[in-house]
Amino acid sequence: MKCNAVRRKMHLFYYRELTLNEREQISEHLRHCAQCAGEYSRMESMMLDLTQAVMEPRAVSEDVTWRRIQARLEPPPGARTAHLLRLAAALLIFAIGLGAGLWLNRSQTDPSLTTSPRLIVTRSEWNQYLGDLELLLLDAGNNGLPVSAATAPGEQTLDRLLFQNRCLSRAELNSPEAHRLLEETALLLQEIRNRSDASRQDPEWLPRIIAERRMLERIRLLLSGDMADSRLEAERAPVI
Amino acid sequence: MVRLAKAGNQQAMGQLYRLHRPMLQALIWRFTGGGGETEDLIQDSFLRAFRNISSFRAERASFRTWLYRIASNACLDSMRRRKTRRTHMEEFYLLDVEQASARFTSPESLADTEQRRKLLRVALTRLPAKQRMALVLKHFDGLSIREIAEVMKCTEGTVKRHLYRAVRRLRREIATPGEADEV
Repeated sequence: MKCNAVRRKMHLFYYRELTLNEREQISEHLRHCAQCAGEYSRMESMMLDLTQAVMEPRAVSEDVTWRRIQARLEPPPGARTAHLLRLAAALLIFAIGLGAGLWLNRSQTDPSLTTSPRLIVTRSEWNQYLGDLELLLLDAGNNGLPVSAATAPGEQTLDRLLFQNRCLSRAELNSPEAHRLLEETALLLQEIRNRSDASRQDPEWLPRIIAERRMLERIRLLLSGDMADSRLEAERAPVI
Repeated sequence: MVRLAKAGNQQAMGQLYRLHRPMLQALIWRFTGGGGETEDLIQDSFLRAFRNISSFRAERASFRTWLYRIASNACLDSMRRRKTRRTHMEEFYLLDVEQASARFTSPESLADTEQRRKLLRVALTRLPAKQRMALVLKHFDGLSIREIAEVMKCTEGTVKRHLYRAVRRLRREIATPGEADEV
């Protein structure tokens, strides 16, 4: 083996990454070539220094990093299944609730049911209604009453608000102002829903009503009052 | 344990983390030169591993090799992102290097092993990323050429070439003027 070939494989010789045959050839060469033997000795010495040169890692708290990793890990597939099951259960409960709500709504219009049961609603339900209503009226106040189906608020939104309104109207609300607002907004929502001739002829009708009756201010007042209290009270407590 | 981790068991992931962390920490520490980013890279590597653990196939590579590959990629990616910046270790020793080089050329300081090691530390951080990774995996972690090729996703010939160039470069960095021509 020639010097050049030996030098190109010296590091592999050092790391014992050569075949037995190659190792023997290089060993033989190093025994007879002083220059290559010198070079190998210097390289070997450098390799030993390199091992010593690099300090060992500092000890750090494993737990801190593990906690960070855990926090950033997505829920494992098992947890995802459990999450889906929880979601399905929530949907089922919602569907039952919706069915019950519709049944109650039908019974309200039935004159034979004179003693309709009073509903208990939570603060979050009340606040959600007010919040959605505020958004709808804000939009209508800025853009006027929608005159075409394209700009009209989604029917689902309106239906939901009307349904919430009906449920809330049957709840035990201790605030006369809340009752007044519910009555007024029920008419307003019905008007938007039906888009009657009167409102179609006068696009400023809705913004004017909102402004005259100070709807947004009243909603915000009820909303802010409720929100302050709702943080202190249990979710299932009756509101207002 | 890997099977449990694949099923999403976080306790098993925690055990894998504790078991393999020292190995990954040492690799990253040596590669970066003990920079402040070591802990970030450890975190990044384990996150990548656990997020993609479903793609791990025991019949293709050992879990250790698979983890090495992820950590190696994290290190090389990090190098690519901050190509122009010096490593922490290089910064730390930079002031000493000039003095060390000056003293090292004089015959009486040849025995000054500590200076030689300082030069080697800096020279290691100056190696091109892939050469450095191959050398760290071979020299400090004792992986075989075949394993390094698996980790770095290249051929064994490429690993040998990286190693040859890395060792030659280190030799040149610490060679005395008389030796320099021979290397």
